[in-house]
Amino acid sequence: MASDLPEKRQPGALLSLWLVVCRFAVAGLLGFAAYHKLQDPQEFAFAIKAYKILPDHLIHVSAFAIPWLEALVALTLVMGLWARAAAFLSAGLLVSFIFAIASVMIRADVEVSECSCFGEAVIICDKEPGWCHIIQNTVLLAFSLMVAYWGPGRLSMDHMVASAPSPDDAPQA
Amino acid sequence: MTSVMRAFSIIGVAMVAALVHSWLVGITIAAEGNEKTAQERFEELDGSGNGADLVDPVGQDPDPIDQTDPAQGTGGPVVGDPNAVSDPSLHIPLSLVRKIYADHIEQMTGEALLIDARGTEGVYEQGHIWGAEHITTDILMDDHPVSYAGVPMGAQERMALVSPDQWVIIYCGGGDCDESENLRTLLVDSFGLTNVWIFEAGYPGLEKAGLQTIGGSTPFGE
Repeated sequence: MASDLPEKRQPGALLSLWLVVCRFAVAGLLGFAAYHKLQDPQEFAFAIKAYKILPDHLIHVSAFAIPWLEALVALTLVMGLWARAAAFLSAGLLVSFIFAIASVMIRADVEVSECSCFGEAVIICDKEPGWCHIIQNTVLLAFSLMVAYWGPGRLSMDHMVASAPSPDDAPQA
Repeated sequence: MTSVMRAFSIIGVAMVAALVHSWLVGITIAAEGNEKTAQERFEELDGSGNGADLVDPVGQDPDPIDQTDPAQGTGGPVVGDPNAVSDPSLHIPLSLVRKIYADHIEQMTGEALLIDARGTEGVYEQGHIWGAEHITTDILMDDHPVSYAGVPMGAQERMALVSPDQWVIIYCGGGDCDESENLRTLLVDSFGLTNVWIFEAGYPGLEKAGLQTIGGSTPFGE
């Protein structure tokens, strides 16, 4: 399988190391969030409802689909397998989270006391959605876009697969 | 192009996992409203057939409550009418709350349950309606320990003691709070209760209506 990247965008050793940091940072937070949301889908459904963005039937789907998507994206990012696709998806998720948090900050009639980003757990930011969550997600979005642009780097399964000699390269007898 | 196809593959796998998960673990978003209004239900249960005495005579209420939800815009109840409700299948008017409170909560007959569903930490302890039990969605779903008639038990065990027809009135912080509706959804869909009502104006409305308030961590303030 040929690499997705043109030769000039193949990352060097230092950039590869940085891309590992980016991948693990995004995967760590998404995986942590997924773990807590999957523990209690009912609570996550009520949390989505509080944002008053989606109709009820989409809340039902989202309460299960979002955490499973987060979990799979986290897994693929950690392994570095299909990492660019996973990075695009994580960027999409993070943009939607930023939009949701910004919308409750703007709409005075919507009161959301808990972000529910990580279920009941609180890391980095307080429970109440605010600028801290937007900055946190923007940083993760930047990390995701770096992985989407440069790929997962040399320390990844994608790189291993791309570097593996193909049967066509075998010396002819 | 390969990345786009791979992204769709990941989404597909996530959707299949979500589908299986939702099949295994049912959730509920919003329970159906009651078939009858609270007034009709009251007349049916009390057998009086005449609810006229429940309506506050015009001008008697010294300080009318605004139950209008500003978030709802049009379609809400009339400002200043304490008995107007925006959805008669979900909400109970103040006149009925007063009647049920006086007949059952104050008399401690055990035939009605007033629930304070406010989830913000410390607000119940700061002040609640006398006799109101503190049951939030978190307390119920996580089965936190509660005390009923001095007996410690889990919140789910407590709610399992409520008979389906028993009056259950829930209030939260008033205005746009979702806590009452979410709790009602759980009580109706998971506990099979059929007589669960929300008081829209919430704690501020009941306080303003003159119901006795008390601090502390138990319904009666101990």
